[in-house]
Amino acid sequence: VETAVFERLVVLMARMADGDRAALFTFYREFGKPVAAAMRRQLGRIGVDHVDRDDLDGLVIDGCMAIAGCASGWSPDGGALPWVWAERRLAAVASSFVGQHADELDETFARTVAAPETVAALEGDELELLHLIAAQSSEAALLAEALELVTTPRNRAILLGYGLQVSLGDPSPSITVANQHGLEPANVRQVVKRTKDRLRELASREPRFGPLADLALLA
Amino acid sequence: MTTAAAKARHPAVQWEPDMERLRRRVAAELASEGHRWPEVAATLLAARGSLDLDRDQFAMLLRTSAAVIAGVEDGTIDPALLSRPSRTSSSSDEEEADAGRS
Repeated sequence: VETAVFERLVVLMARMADGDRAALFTFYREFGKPVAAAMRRQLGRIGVDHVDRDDLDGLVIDGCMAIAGCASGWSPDGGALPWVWAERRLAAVASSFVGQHADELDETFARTVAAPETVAALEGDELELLHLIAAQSSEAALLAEALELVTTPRNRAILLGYGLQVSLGDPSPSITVANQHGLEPANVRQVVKRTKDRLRELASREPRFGPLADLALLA
Repeated sequence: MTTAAAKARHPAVQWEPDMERLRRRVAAELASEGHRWPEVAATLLAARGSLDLDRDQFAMLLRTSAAVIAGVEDGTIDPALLSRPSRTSSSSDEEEADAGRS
């Protein structure tokens, strides 16, 4: 951000911190675009890749009001832009939006349906799950062994988590796994690609691991 | 597609401010705070914010005092005070001319 723009931000944040509500209108008009981009980033982090313009504008207004509400805590000395500094508040706005648009849980129905045991298992560590399956399946045992040869425990968990989300129909598996591991989605995609490449290379190089090439996980 | 083209297509880039929508939100917020004239106050705030004026500058524009602007915004002064036409030299001249004609 250019110095003049940052100085303008300092003036508007100070006016909002002083309780001048007219400055909210000025801030919204002049800095609504970066707030819109910040809101989209927050939505992306919770798996919402598309939001229509009307909803986005409502979120920008909510975001600007959230920033105005905490303007007195912002200091230009840190150099952080207000929408970056107020990231948690914007995240709360995004979560609230998603919550409003989620279907309410039918608790009566939920109580009558017993959760299958596999669901509980899926919520645990993916590596642990793979080893449980490996005890029953030679393919899973081979995959577990191959993963230990080619990559780290963290990258194994990322690949398995990614594969799990894909199989569950998650439209944005890299975002979901990135949130689980505190990474950026691009990092997840990179880890998945590298690990798959190494597994394919191992499968082609060592006949014992050849059956891995047919796994859906490596498709 | 180039990076510039992709950025140009991004919805956040296409976003445009809707000042009337924000005005309605602020009016609703003022009403929830018990403001006596939330619609007028929100309109005044939107106008002042759009023009990027402080209360002194805005008061000069409306030929009133900053205290009246602050009072209307806070809900402590009846906004009818703003609607009374101020006596400018030209309006005084017209009134005097009308009086002369009658």
